[in-house]
Amino acid sequence: MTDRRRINGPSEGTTPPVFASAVVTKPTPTRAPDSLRKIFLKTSLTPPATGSAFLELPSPAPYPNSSTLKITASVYGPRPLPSSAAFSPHARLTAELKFAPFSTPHKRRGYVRDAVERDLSVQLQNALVKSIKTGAYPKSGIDVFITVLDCEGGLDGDDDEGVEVGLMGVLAGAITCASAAVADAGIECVDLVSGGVAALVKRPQNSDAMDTDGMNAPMLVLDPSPADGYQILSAAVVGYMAGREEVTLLWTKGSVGILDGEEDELDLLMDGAIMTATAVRLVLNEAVKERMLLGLARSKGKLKEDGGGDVAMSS
Amino acid sequence: MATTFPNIAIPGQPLAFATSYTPGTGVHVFNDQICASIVGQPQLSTPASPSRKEKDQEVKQVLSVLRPASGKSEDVALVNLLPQVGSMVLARVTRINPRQATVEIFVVGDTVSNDEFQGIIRQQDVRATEKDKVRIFSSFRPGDIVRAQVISLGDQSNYYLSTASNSLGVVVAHSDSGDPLHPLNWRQMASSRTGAIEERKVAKPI
Amino acid sequence: MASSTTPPVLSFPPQTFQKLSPSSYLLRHLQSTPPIRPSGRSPNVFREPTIHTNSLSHAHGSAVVRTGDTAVVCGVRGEILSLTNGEGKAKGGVVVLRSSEDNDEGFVGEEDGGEGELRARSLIVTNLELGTGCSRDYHPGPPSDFAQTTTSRLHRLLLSTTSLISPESLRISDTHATEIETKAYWVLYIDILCISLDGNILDTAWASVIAALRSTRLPRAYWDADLEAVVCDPDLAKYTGLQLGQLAFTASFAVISGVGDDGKSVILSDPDEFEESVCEESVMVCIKEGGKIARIEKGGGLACGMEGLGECVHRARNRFDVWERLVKSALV
Repeated sequence: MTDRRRINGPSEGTTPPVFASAVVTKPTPTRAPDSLRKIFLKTSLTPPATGSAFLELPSPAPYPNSSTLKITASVYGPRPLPSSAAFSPHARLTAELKFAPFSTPHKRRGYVRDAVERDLSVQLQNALVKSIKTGAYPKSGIDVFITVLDCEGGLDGDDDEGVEVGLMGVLAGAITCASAAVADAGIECVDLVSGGVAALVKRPQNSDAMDTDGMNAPMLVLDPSPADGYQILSAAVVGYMAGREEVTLLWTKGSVGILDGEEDELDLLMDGAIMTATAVRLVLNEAVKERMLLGLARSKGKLKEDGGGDVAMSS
Repeated sequence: MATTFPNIAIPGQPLAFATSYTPGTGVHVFNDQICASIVGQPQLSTPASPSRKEKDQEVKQVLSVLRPASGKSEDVALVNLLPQVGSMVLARVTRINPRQATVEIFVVGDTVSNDEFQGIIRQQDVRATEKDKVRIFSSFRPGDIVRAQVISLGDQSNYYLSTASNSLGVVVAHSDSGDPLHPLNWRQMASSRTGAIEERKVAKPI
Repeated sequence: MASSTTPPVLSFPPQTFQKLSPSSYLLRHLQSTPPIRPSGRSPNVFREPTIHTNSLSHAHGSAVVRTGDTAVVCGVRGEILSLTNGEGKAKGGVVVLRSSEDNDEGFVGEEDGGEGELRARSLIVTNLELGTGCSRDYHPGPPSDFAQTTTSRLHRLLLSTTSLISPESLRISDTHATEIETKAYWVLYIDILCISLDGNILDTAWASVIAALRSTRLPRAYWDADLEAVVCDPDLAKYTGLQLGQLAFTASFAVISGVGDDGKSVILSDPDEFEESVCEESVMVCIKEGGKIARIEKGGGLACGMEGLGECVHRARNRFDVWERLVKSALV
């Protein structure tokens, strides 16, 4: 597909490198099912934007093809809508998510927005819109732009039989990153939304824990990564406002049924995802405060920063 | 009751009961509690003038969450302010027709906006007296900078502004030949270079 | 009564003045002694850059370059272009692989195709994306005129001006046949994403291309006769870097005239967004190793003459040293 406004590759098309021997040794999961990866979240890295944030999530284990999730978000607004837009007593929130061409493992993504990106953009918008006090900004628009610079894979469902855990991870990260950027922009919100993912996986053969049923009972894993090596049966991602205890977004994939005849698998998944989101919220809180704390310390003039970031008191 | 507020509040964080304080800016009320709406510092202030009804009762302090203008080196606040009813704005005249002047608002209150909002000054809002005798052509010209007040959010594309006050009107203007004009009286400006007089609705210089 | 009394001075706060008449705002700053820009820099000072390489997991080479508030991520990915049967022999001036003695200096040779081969087969695909929310003017969607022209400038710098990549390093040949035959090529997709924009995207984007290309390591690709396809060796130790030509870096300037009573012009190094919007005249100098001038672009006005260009070249040479040191230390 030639895009006439960009420089294109050869018209015959190119293929990603094919490797000689299948080096894919399925990794064995090394971390505990309820352990969460450490998130790196920083705000105000894009000064031209009203608010911005950058999120990084490392791969679970340092094994050969480890990758990290890297997402940037920038928020503009509230800014005037074009005159063609109808009068609205509320602000209009638009979210646009884009994968960078070099972000995915196998095929290079083009610049034209495809269905996956549109879908994630709409999901992101739904997750955020209820947290923002849009009534405070009539006749205006709030734009959120998300760029995924690097992702872990697992987007097409090849790795985990169609459950697309990687995509869910991207959405959860995007929700958290966008919330941080909106808070950084000073836009009034009733609460901050954080994203969390949980999955039900096939219990590994060598696991000691056995259910009363035998080894067939699925196991709940929080913050799953496609690189873990689990065989994923179903997964859920939530957008959760921890202060109000409200879920703004819920998306499940895979077949979800009744566990043991008692517990509903859906409840288990949702609780797991909410637990993950609540933990992520703590990181989000610290990240949005950090910038302001730094600014306050500087403006007070009592503290002097050394080059290395150490803070020394001036007499 | 003595409440200690956190140094920095985040959206959704409850600060105090709604009975203890009056909610100000940057907060909202949920479940009878005043919660923060933005990331900022909670601050108490006394209301400007208590109403007659409140004089008998104890005057409640106003609890707001303010965002300090820090982080960047400039003093301009990071938040994009929208024009509210009653805001003083600076705007540039872009078009005129016999009924109204179309302007672009670029300063709201004290902050320069990052984006420009479109507004109109209708013939009846140009001055307070003799409204029907107003001629837009003698009040504004394209390119003038005008100080005005927002009187209404207006429709989908325009805010409605008014210059019906002594302190409102044209502050900076250029003559047809391009020289700067300085104010003579409320309806005339003169060129610095030639002394030629042009008609405008002039703001009283502070 | 039009007297010639001086009109009352109307004073606005600095930000308002900047919005009302941006060129006067800039000129007033430059008229002070010493001349200073609104950002606080002197006219001949560039912003301090930082480079990080190899931070992307799925790209063969990458670099993140920040110059002040302008930040850019560049990723290089190689894909295989398989030639149809027999094509490698007949077309494109592909010759028998010469011995290494012939190719020790530079890689620009008309005999071995050079730029022509790269262009004919579209082996280098450079693209700059600004629609990432990097600044309030750029929205997602088809690239604007500015994005297209900047992409084109970067592409030209890469292919013609510096001839950084030789087509030889991209050829995948069948070494077992009696006559060396090119079976396939590596195609390099160089994608540059701007994540923050405060003026002078060109210098930062170009530096990120250089750093990313230098950090690129491609797997060893060979022609498997049994499978009749190009296959890559998964052994990480066998990954090799690209054979690149000499380093080259750009330096961009904005020129404003009318400073002071004599109306002289001032050359501003590394303009930011505000200065770019006010100044119409601009100069770009590309310097190669050894202080050689590879390219000069000038346009938009008449104020900068031969003396001005000399000053630009001098500043660009100093800037080259800064970039060179930074790239070399980033890739250690």
